[in-house]
This record gives sequence, C-alpha cells and structure tokens, in this order.
Amino acid sequence: MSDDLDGVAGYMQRAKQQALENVEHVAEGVAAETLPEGKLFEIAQSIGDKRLEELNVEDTTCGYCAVGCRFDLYSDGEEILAARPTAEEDAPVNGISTCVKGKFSYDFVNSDDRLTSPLVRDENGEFREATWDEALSRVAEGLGAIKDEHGGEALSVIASSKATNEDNYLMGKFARQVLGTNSVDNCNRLCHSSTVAGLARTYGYGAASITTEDLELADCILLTGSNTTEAHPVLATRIKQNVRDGADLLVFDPREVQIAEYATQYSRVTPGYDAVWINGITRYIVNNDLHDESFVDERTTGFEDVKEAVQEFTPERVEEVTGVPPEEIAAAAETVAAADACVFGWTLGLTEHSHGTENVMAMANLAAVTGNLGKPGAGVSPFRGQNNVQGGGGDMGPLPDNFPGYQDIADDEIRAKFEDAWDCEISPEYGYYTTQMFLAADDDDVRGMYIIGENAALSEPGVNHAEDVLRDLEFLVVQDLFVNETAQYADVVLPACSFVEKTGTFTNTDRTVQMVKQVMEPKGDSRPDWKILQDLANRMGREWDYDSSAEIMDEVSSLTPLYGGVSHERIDAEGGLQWPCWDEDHPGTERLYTEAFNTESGKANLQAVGYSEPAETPDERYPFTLTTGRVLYQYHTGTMTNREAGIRQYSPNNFVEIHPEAAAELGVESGDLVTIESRNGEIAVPAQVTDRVGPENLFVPIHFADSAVNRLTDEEHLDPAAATPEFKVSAVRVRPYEGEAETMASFDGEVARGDD
Amino acid sequence: MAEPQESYPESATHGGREQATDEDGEAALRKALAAHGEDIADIVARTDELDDALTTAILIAAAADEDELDHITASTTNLIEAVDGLSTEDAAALATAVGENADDLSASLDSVLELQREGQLDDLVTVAAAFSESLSPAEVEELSTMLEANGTEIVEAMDLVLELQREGHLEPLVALAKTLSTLEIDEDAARGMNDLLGAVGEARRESEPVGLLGALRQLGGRDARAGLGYVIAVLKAQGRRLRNDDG
Repeated sequence: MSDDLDGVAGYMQRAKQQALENVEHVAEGVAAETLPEGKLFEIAQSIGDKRLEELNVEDTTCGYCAVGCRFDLYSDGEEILAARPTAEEDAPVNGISTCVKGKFSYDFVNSDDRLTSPLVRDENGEFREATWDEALSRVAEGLGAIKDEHGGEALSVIASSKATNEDNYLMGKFARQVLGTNSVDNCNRLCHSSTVAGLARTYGYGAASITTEDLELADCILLTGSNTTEAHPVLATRIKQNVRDGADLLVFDPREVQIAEYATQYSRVTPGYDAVWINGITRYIVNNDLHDESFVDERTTGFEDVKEAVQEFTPERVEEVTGVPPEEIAAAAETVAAADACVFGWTLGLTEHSHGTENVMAMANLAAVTGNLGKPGAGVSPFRGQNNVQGGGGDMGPLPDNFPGYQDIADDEIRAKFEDAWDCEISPEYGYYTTQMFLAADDDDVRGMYIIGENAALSEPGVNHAEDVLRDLEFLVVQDLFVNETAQYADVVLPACSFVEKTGTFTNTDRTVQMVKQVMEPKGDSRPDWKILQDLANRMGREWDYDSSAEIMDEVSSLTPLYGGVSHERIDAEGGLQWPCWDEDHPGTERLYTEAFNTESGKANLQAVGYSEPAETPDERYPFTLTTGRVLYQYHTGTMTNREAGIRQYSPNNFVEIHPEAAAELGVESGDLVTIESRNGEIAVPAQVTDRVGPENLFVPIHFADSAVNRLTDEEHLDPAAATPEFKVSAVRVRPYEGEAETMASFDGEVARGDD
Repeated sequence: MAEPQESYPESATHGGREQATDEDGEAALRKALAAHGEDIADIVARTDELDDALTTAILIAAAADEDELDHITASTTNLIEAVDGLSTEDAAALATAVGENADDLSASLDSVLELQREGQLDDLVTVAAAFSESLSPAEVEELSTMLEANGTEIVEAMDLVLELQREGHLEPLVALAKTLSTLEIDEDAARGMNDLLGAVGEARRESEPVGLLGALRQLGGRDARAGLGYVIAVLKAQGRRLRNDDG
C-alpha cells in the first residue's frame, strides 16, 4: 500500500496504524504498572507475532554480490518489507551482518518500469505488448530461421549470473541442445574469467580455495585490486575484525581504497603491471630462502622455472615500472613469509587486463611457494562479484568450452555423456566467448543472440561498438526485468523474475551452494527463467518437463561430479554445501587442496610468468591512466540500485576521481565538469579532487548510463587465455568541459555495466 | 536488424498495470452505481459531506492519545445510541442491550462484534469510504464486487449511514468500527472482552480500584492477542471514570 494516499483512504490507512500504536502504547503504560515484565514482553511478542502472521517470510540468499549473505525476507505479497537476520546456522558466511544493498535495495522489484508483459516489434518497428504465446512463437521462429539457414553456430547465448544455478544449467543446455551452438557465455568473461583460467591452470579448480572463515583465521591477508569495503562489505568486515585482532593486512592498489586505512602496509601501484610487483615479492622470497621448501618439494612442479622467471624483477625494475619502492616489496615479502597462514585476496583490479591470467598465475605462484594453500587461514580468494557468477556463471557450464562442473567439451567421453543425456549432437569445437561474440558478429559469424539478464549495451568494453553489433543482428531476444539499454535493440523482450520471486540455488564466492526461496509471486506475467526456457525449448521441438527447479538440480547432480551430492532437500536441511560434494554421503569441501591439487599429478603446476604491460600505455596525447570500479551504494550497471530512492540520495551521479596536482594543472575543482577522452570515445563527468588516486591516474565508477565509462574502454585488447577485456587500464586525456552544463543530464537512472 | 527503441507501452509494465487496475475498478464501480439508480445518485451527490464526516471520525481515532482514547471509549455509548437507528436483528439486539452499567456495555459490545463478524460493519465503513478519489485499486475492486453482489442491501446500508451521519452518530460508529476491525477481534478476544467488561462491572460494584487491577491480573493466563491493547485501554479509561465517579 502506498504511503501517499490522501483523502479518506489515506486517513484510514494512517488511522489504522495510529490506532493500533496508541492502544499498544496505552497498554504498555497500564501493563507496566500491573504486570510483571516477562508478561509485558509476552504481550508485546504476541502482538508482534499476530502482525507477522500476515506476512510471508522466507530465508533466502542475497541477489547482489557473491558473498552469499543469507537473511529472512518479509513480504506482504506486493513488495519486500524487510530483511532481517535468519538463524545463524543458515547464514554461514554473514551471520547477522548484511550490507546496505541486501538490507534495503528491493524497490527495483516493484519499480513502475518493471516489465510485466512480453514485447514484440510491430510493423513499424515499434514495441507493442504481446501474449506469451505470440512472443515465444516469434522467438522460436527468429532463432529457428537463422539456425536453419546458417546453422546453430550462427547463434549465441549470453547467460545471466544473476539467475539461479538451475536457470543457468538450462541456459547452457538450451544453447547446445536446442540451438546447436557452443557459443554460450556470461559476465564472468568481463571479470574473473582470467582468475578461473589462471587458477585452473595452476591448481586445477577455477575458484577460491578458502572458506570464508579463513579470512578470520589468517595471520596475514594480502589484498590487491579489491575495493573490499565498498564492493564486498561483509567480507571486509571480517577482514577488519581479524586485523583488529592482530593480523597483518597488505594492500596493493592504484587507489588508496578505504580498506587501506586498516592496512599494515599500503602500496600504491601503477595500474596494469601487477605481475611485476607480485613477481618482485616472489623473487625476494625465493632469493632469501624464505619460501616453504617442503611444500614446494612435495606439492608443486615448476618451481625452478618460476625462480628463474622472477629474476628479472629486481627491486629497481619493480620500482621503475610499478612505483613500489624496494623497501615496500621487501617488507611485504617478509610479512607474508613470516605468517603461518596467509590469504591472498583479489578482485577485478588483478583480472580485468589484457594479461589478467598471467597476473593471477603470478599470485598463484606466490601462494604456492610460501605454502599457503590447503590449511586453515591460508589460500587464494578471488572475491566474485555477481551473486551467482561462481555457480551460474561457471559451475553450471553456460560456457563455450565447458559443460557443467568444468568438464571440457573437447573431451570425447564427457561430450558423449552429455550427448546421451541431452539426446543431441554437440560439436567438440569451442564456441565464442562473450567478448568474441561481438567481434564475430562483425564478420556475420554470429547473426542472432539470446541475452538473458545482462546489459551488454553498457557492460561490454567499447560500448559504441557493442551498440553497432546489437543494431545489426538479424535477430535479438532479451530476457530481463527491465527494458534496459540492450533490450532497446531487441526484436522480442521477455519479462523475467527477480530472485525474490523464484526458487533455486546460488553458489557464492567460497563455493557454498545455498537456497534461494520464493518470497513473493512473480510480478504481472513475468516468469522464472527456467520456465521461459522450458516453454521455448518445447516450441523448438524438445520435450522438457521439469516441474520444479529441484528437479533441474537433480539432473545437474547426475551429470556433474562436483555437484554429485547436491540437492535442494539436502541444502535446505544442512544450510549450504561447499563443492566439491561428490555424492550424497560426502559432506562437501570447506577448503580445497588439503591433500592434493586437482591436476593429473596432484601437484600444483607453477607457471613461469614474465613481464607484461597494458595493451594501451599512456603517451603524450593520452597521458592519464583510467581505471574503473564500484562504489558502495551502487551495483553494476545500476538496474537494481538506481531504482532505489534512498540509494540514489547517497550516490546519484557519476564522477571522476582526479589527483589535486592534476586538477590544479587543469584548473578544475571538485564539482567542475570535465571531459574525459580516449581513443574510443568521450564522456563528461564532474570532478572529485582527491589524493585517493595517483597524480597520473583517474577513476570513474561503472554504474551510470548517462556517462557510461565503457564509451572509453576498448573491445579489442583481450586476455589471450580468458578473453577478458582491459577495463582497468585505458589511456585517456582530460580537459575542462566546454559545453552547456545543462547538457550534462542530471542523473536519469540507468546503468553502466554488469561485471562480475 | 532493429533500431533501438527507448519507448514501449506502459501497459506492459508494473506501473501501467497498477494504473489499469485502478481504471478498470473505477469503471466497474461506475457501472454498478449506474445500475442502482437514483438512490445511489443521491448518495453520490452528498459525497463531500460524507467525506468530511468520515475524515473527522478517523482523524480522532488516528490521533488518539491516552486521553482521547477516553473519547473513543465514550463513543461506545454514542454507538449504542446510534444503533437505535439500525433495523437489522443484530441492531435491535444491540439496542435492547443498551444499559447504564458495564455489564450491559459488555453485551452491547458482543452485539457489535457479531455485526463485525458478519462483515456488516466493515461493509458500512467500506461503502462510506468509497466516495473518495484515493481508494487503492484493490479496494475499488472489492467495492464494485460488493455492489454487484449486494446492491439493494448496500443501498439500504448507505441510507443508514447517511441517516447516522445526519444525526451525528457516524463519527463514533466509524471510529469504533475501524478500531475493532483493525484489531481483528476473534472469538477468544471477544470472550476476553466480555469477561473483562464483566470484571469492570464487578469493579464498579466494589468501587475499589484494586478490584480493577485484580481483574487485569486475571488476564495473565489468557492468549494475549492484538485485541488486548484495546481492552486494556478501555479498562483503564473505565477505571478512571469509576474513580472520578467515586471521587
């Protein structure tokens, strides 16, 4: 019920609340004089319970970041009224903690522009409302026609890491079985796919080795490229608590982010050269015999190669390239080496580079040579971004090269297993990664796309190019909660449900599979993704007949050894399961690699990593290095948070952080508009003068559509192994804004990019 | 190939649906009103008066502090007077139950509760509230359904409402009805009220404030539900009145 009713209905509404409050107030006064306190409490409890009886309450998993917080959500069927702590045993990661987004940001569910009916194009190319029957028929015809004429390979699917594991499993199955393409990928490509590639190559699993509790058990935590307090607030709390209790915290970052305030040592690094300073630390450790010799001997291969490769990273060279002085490299190395247990944590500052996989492998080498794996308080911890990018984006296999559970599609035996289960033929050739799909579309190798819960028109690097691609596709279907920037190019838009309107599972950043429970009915005619996919598959000649997402998970576990013992029933009963969970009797795996690595030899395969630099370095024409990232009150392309009035009060507008020296040279002050220009495009944003960034660096957040920072980034320079774009380094120049200030639209409520 | 389209039909959105429901409901309401002819037309013509009366009554309930709850309590007496005008069997029973002491009040309240259980009080209030512009879509829909199903009775009820309003009884009626309906008094609570009001009568006979508190303590074993707060408020006010009377 809206608060702004006026007239009699409004009075009634308020009177109802007020009358009840008044009588309760009087009751309190009377009771306090006459009743024992315990009875008073009972009465209050009874009144409270009576009110709550009318609400639907479910424990569920947060749909914002991938920390995996769990809490009770309260709904009256129309909207989400509250998020409150659930039983602590059901919230293993967060306990009673929740960040501002998980606690308050649910207005998007009921937003006026929430799409509740399918849209199709009319004869003039305008959107009109359609029935599900018509919309699904159009999709089946549109995708089917391309498949018939050009083969399934001419189609691609972008799956959604916001959706459940069950939804994502079906997205992968739909691509391969129904459309006949391996070109299915998701937002992990834009963020941590280099983590997955780097860790898989060295240790075997592309995931965090730690359990979240290790952040509190560690003697030392080395963080890099992670604005933890803003991007993963609940994890940051646990880290800060450990530091308060005596642990060392080392922060390497181009920006002096808030967590650096708690650090034992903060080192500012030049963006784009992370492997250099990491190798510098490794060099110091091995050259001073500070490495864990027995661990290296017994549990790794390739140590000598690594030792040789790091020799070029002398303290002088590291300082010259990264700006980190020799004493800081030495201090960090000594601290890591002295610690009994160290966690190495990172976010996208390490990965969103044209050599992100090498950065991750350099970090994996450092963790291994110091023996910090497979024991309490030690390990590697990439902090994943999207709520379900670990599970939906990776584990469930909506990937061009892997089936669910990271099973290689090129492996004949594995492929045969899925061909048999899905009753179809599957090509052994890898499909396109997301970033490659957009490049392949230029050559007409991709002609139709099915984009689910992603805002590629803003989130892809070099969005000017992405827009051209979307416009030129022969057929585009978008499935989303909103008509976002991507959907504006669609032939058909299908209305999907948010996580509060469906049941399934998410897998968080420490591999814990947790229940997502429906708290309210789908809005309007919107539907859960898995139901839409099932209807579509059946229209395109298949016979899917899942009755529930629990049935889908049963199919996942039958085909995916990592999830072999996972079922909804068990997760609900046990409060979350960490993979690998091989069978029904397996308890799940808190920490990876306690006994062996997931490689053929069972040892970690250390990889020699040499010098690397950004694809685009600053020069006279573009002298600044631009990095991008997040702010606390916002989330990704803003489709959810920008619909929350309270959030927008805190963080309504885009901005650029610029160092005082640079600002003085340009003659700009905080609040002045500046134009930032790269080789790919330009945007105008207000300056925020701060020494949080270095004198030659700029920072712009990713959340705002009206001045989308991805107009400046570049779509072509990708990590060779993981195809991750270089969001974190763009060469730019900056000048005071010269146009009319009014043209810098006051913020209009949309997005900037969906990363992990 | 598709050119980007920023615009799309609002009817395909959550906001558009809410508005459509509102409009549909209003249309249904208008149709139902038209079908019931002049009686309703007369009532509609007097909307402003009705609105004002309701507004005042509800504001009193809404803003009630401890003292003003006395007023609400006192209004039960007005209510009982008011129902003299009602013609249903329940109303007749209520009317005959009117008395000077709290025991009678207890019985009267029981009758009011009976009215409420049958949905008639709610109906009266809903109909009375209908003639404003700001009903929620759900309320408008409910009202139009109600009018379709029970048009004649509702028209009669409206006549009663207007009659009550003319005689100045509407305010207390609405205030009490809303309070009772908010509290969702069920059988247990109703019995509790009877018992308590019986105790009030006893307390009055004993003329001892201690008796009142004693009665309150007896409440301890009972299911404490939402109605309790109201009952305590009534008791407290009654107790004060008893003390004042004695004093």
